[in-house]
Amino acid sequence: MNAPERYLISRNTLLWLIVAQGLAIVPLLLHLPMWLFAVWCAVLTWRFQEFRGRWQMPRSLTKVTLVVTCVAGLFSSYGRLLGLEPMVSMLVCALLLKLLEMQRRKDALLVMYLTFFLIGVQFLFSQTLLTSLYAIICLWGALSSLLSMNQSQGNHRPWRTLRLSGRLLLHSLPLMVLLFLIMPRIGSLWAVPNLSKAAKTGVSDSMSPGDFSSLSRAGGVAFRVTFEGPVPPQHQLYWRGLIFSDFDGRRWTQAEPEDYLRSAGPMIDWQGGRQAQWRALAEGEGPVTQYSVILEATQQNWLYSLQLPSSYEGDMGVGLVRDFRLISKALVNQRSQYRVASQLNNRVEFDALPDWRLKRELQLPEGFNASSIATAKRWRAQTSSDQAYIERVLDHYRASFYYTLEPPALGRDTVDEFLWQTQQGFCEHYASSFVVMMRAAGIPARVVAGYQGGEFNALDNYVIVHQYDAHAWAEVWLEGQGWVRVDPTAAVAPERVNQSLGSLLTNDVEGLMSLGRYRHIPWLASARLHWDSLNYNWHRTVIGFDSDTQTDLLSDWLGDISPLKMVLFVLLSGGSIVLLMTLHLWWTSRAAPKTLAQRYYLRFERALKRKGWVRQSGETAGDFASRIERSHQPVGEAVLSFTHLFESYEYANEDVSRKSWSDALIKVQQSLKAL
Amino acid sequence: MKKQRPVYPSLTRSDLTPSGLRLYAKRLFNAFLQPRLRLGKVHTLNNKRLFIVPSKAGFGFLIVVNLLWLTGTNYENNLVLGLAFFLTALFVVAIHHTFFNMSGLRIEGLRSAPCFLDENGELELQLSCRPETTKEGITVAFEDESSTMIDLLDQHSTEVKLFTAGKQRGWYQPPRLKIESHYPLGIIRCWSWAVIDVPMLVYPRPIPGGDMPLSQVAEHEGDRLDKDGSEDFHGFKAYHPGASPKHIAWKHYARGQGLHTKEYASYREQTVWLDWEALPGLGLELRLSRLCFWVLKLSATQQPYGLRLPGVEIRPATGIDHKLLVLKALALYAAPADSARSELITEEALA
Repeated sequence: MNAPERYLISRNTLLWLIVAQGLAIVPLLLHLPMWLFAVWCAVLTWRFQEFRGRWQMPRSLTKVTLVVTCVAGLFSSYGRLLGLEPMVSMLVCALLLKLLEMQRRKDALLVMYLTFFLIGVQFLFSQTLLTSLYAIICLWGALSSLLSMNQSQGNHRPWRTLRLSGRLLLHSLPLMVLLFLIMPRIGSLWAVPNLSKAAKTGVSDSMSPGDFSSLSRAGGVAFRVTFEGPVPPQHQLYWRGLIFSDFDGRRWTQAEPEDYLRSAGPMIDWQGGRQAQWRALAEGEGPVTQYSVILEATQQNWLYSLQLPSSYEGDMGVGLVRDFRLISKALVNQRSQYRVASQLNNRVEFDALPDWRLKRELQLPEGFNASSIATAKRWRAQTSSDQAYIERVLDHYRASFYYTLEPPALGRDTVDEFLWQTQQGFCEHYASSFVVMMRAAGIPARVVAGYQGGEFNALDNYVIVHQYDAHAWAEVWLEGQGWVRVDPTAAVAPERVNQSLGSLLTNDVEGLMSLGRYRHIPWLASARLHWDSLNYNWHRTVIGFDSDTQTDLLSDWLGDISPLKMVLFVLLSGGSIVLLMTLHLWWTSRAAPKTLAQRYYLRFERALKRKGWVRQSGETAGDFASRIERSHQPVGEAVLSFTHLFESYEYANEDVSRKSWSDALIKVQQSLKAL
Repeated sequence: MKKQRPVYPSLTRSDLTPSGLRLYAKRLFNAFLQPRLRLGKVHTLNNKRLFIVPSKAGFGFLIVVNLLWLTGTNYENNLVLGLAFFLTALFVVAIHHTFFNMSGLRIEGLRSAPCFLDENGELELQLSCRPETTKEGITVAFEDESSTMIDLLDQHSTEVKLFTAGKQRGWYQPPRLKIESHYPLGIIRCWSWAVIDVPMLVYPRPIPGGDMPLSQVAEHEGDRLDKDGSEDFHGFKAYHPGASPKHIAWKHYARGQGLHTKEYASYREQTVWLDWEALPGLGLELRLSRLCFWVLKLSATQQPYGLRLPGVEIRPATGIDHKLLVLKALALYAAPADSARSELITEEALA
């Protein structure tokens, strides 16, 4: 074998590399421009044709052209080259094109290291349990190809390679877990580009007819909640996200923040800061409900909480806005966890509303829904109090309305048409029309958007809130009581509030591929909950592991954390892990215990060695014996008979007793003494 | 029980150039290595004799680990951090796997094949491991020379032939052998040196030229008869005018190789004594080289020949064994002391 050949990669290695590289980039391609997939196919075809000897490896001019084309393609796809996705796409391009010129070990090594890096990069896009399990498969493939690079060229045992790399993987896991637990998390060192293209999910910052019914079909989980203490009843679980005060006849939007700027104090009361003055506007009563929420990525910055949050904190920075709902400091672009304490009984802004607030919460667009406004005024005149008027409106819903995910389309005067003609609608129709009716009658009211209810997973005592739990309801302001929640949907379809929509309208809200659709099949239902519970725990324990949990955990184990204790702990645990692995390696490579025959033969050899007869390497026992016999007759006889015994045991599988072994050996020793 | 201490060379002013420093580093390393080398027929690799460091690829691997750690830290992404920690753990684990793959390997020098000076001699080795174990991806090579990768998977012993130039006439100690492996992941380099105590016999370099150095003592017996009245074919010679036409090599002429005459010679006795004394005025090595050349030439023609060296006389004979005997005598005649060997600490000194 001459030197340059040694550095070429073998066919097996090439195959392993293509598999490992493919495994690593498939999940990335789902998030990147589709044409990269075509590049991949082209590269594989080229490489295959090159392997068959049909095509040549690209020349340097071709290579430059390919690189320039890819960069230009990325630029036209993204319009920029900085940012997470363009940068990841560049890496993927580099990896793909490198395959074309990969001939030597050095190139293969570069491809391998890029692959390792890209396996990590896929976690920036998704951190689910499934992704992590998939990443283990990727790692296994990558280790196998790295291993195959260091095996002989003619190695044709893929299973052995796979088994050995699996062993390496398993040996590394304990040490990895230790490192994961003890390595300090130091937090972001510098600003990094984040995902940009990800679609916003969940409740959006405006509401018009049809929004919520389509959201209900979006599928997926919105967030998961663990309560400390008992889970409040289903009809109490109103997860407030956004408050819509502005209505243009069709669309509800949030009040402009400038409105609030007129009032004293900061707009947002961030966690850990000094309590803003306006916090005094709300007062809670009764028990505090504590819970922690793991929110899926929404690409929005509002968070969901129950009623009046009194304390709140989360890694991403949580703040209470002037209208007593929570927001996060940055867009929620990955699963995030925050903890809240809420008081379910509360009075918010119960004293009086300032004039500008009253105006805002009573605002109605000019020239819309004339008949509803007229009716509202008539009904309010007929009733004695605001309470009675509310009941009157709710009664109207109860009389003949129909709750459906597929309401008929509405024209210009949405509320008029809904209230007096179609009378079929989803939560947004009820909330919107109810608030219009209230405002028309002079009662300040607003729409609240968020989620309602959730599915209780008894396996781990947490509540899963699905996208189809998205809900809109109303809040009316009553003198002395402040903002009071009224859910007109509950008047029409009380089961919507008492059960989950998922169980109510399963086939409408769950896709064909969703396990939830088949929740009437018991084992599938339980498998779904088990899987969700695993995912949930995965997030809580692994993804959500931060420096606080780390400190808690370590102080649980060590008591007070001192540097000395830490060093001892790391040395002891790391040492014992490495020791165990070494023991395993040693155990699998240790010598098998010697048989009786081997032990006697060793003694025989030692006895002869003392007289200068040493068995040469490669010399069989028989040859050795006849050599001795030729040089010394009497010793030779004893040696021959011992050797005969050994051979008949070793090669003829005859049983030889301990006595005959020792007799034969004694004879040899006696003959040697006689020398 | 005395352990030899390394004698480190001191840095001189002339070493203070880039290449000089590199050479100095090499000398320093050799001095460090010297007492650690052991001369022996059998070497079994164990923790005392294995060196283990990250390979170049290993440093590249560590760069990837660091990049992943930075990514994980900046994105506060525990899974990316987890991957970085996994690869770190893998690095530690690979050290052990590489070590255990090498440890317990037994290298035994079986035999060597002789060679002429500065030509490649052959050293045959047996590599083996305990039957329950396997060894993979191990390369064996004389330093800086091409290596052979061996596996011990199905059989626990294999034989390898390695070639190295015989650099000194006589019994030549082959240079230290490097046994190296990057298995399993290529990120860790583990190696050991072994000096195999199977000296190689190095014959003088055959140098053609001059007349056959025939023994003066056998002048009357060994003299050649006159050329023309001879009967044994001796060789070809370029045609000169006046040569007997019956001696012209017509076959050569027909092949277009020019006109040659066949040379015939016969000896009074059918034996030749090659004699050291017949090469006066030449140096020791050149004399031996000339003799070596004629030995090869004569043994190719099946001509019986003998050898006379001061203090050595080998009776004329033919055949391969005879040739080897004669060559060995030439190789060992006043052979220089084996310097490679004397540098090495012997097994006895270590024991």
